[in-house]
Amino acid sequence: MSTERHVIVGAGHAARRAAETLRALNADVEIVMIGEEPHAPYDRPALSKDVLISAEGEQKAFIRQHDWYAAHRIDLHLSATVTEVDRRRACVRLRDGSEIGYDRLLLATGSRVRRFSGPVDQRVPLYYVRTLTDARVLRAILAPGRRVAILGGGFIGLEVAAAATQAGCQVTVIEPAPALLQRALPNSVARHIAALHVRKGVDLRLGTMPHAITYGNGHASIEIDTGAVAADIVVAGIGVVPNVELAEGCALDVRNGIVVDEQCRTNDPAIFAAGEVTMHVNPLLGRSIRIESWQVAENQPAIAAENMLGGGAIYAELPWLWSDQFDCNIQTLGIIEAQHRLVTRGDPAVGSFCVMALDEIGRMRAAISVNSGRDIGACRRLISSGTVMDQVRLADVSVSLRSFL
Amino acid sequence: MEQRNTNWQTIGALDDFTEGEPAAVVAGERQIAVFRIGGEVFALNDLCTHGHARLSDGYVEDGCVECPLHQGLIDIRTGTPRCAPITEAVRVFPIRIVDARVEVNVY
Repeated sequence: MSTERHVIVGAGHAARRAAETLRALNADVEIVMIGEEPHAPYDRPALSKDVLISAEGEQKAFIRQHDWYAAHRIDLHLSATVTEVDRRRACVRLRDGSEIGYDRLLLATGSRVRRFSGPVDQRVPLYYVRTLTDARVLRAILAPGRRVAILGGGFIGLEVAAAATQAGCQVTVIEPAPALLQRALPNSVARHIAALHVRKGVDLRLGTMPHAITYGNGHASIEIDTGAVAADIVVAGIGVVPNVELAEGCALDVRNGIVVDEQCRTNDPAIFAAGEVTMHVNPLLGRSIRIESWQVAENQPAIAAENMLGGGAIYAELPWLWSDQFDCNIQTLGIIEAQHRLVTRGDPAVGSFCVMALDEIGRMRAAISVNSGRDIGACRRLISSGTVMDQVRLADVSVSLRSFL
Repeated sequence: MEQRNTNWQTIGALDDFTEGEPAAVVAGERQIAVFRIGGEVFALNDLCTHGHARLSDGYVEDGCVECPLHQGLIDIRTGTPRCAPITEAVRVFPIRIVDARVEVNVY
């Protein structure tokens, strides 16, 4: 019997985790990884933080060095683009015309940045932070006194704002919504983070839409509802879009992401998908969801790999993510719904607190921590235990969260 | 006169340390995270090798401490990483208990 070949499209964090798991579980299968970027897989969290501040910050991004892949017989094709998946012949076609056949295919194609859709004067380079190359380019120009305008007050925009401020730049954040991080966080947390940025010298322009980016007098100018913001450097952090085109091109189910079940299976039994490109069934939430986070890139591909080898593993995790801005660590666990009651533990004025969301019968369903990551460990256990909580005791910091377990 | 590689410092009584509640202490100008597991006490350098987090703020379960910033796991007895994103071991400091006093060797 010939050896099975497992082909991974994409060479990011999710692809690495799938390849590691495939090799750990099976010494014999052929593993091929194909990625567009020139780099071996790297993790992205550091890109909008440490990598913007120093070259040493890049070390955090590479969990495996380039030679690790050869040593584990993972055939790494970099700077290579897959243009088509031919399901009938079970092969992928590359831009150079070559074809690679597969027994099992994993789509780990990730996301790309959403581009600013307004008019941009061609003399203004618009910077994004998605790839290592993006981060290196930006690091090279962030210098004391530079005026940096950031489009988007989400996690990436705010992390870049923090890094640029730390690099000595004068930073303005432009956000169309009336508050920061409105999609992800309760008001009390969003206000706390806004105050942090203002205290550090960031100019927040909320509730104003950037319409166009013009150029004059040697600098860029962002036209907003209330006037204009002058800048030497313009960065856009306005979200990402999943790379679903290959899946669409071969008629797999796509709905704001490649549709997979809780076992990472697409509607083709030979094709799996993993990482933030997936619209996946989350059994804990009872619905499908696409999540842009380190957690999904870390853990879901391991499940996909196991199932590519014939397993029946299930991916079921409470969504969790973190953001580091200045000296502030924010973590969100689970998803806050409109009907949840919010309980705050700790004092936002002190800078360390946790907001917990309880459902109608008092079970914890989600938690947000601000410089109180210790609480997240306990909250994860409390959420999975389904314990009904006493709201007053929960808010009392003299009562240990462990005591509810 | 202390020998080289030996610098035992008293950090408290055994009863000062509670199971499941790590403590932050300073000994010999080092920040140390102290953990009690059953009758035993263990000490780690109080800084995660991944983020700039204090392990003494971590959640303890099954002999591991969970880093409060990014939820990586460290084996309290050995300092070995057990779960991503931590990849580098954390330094362990020897502990001894003398007359119900806990001492750490911060050489």
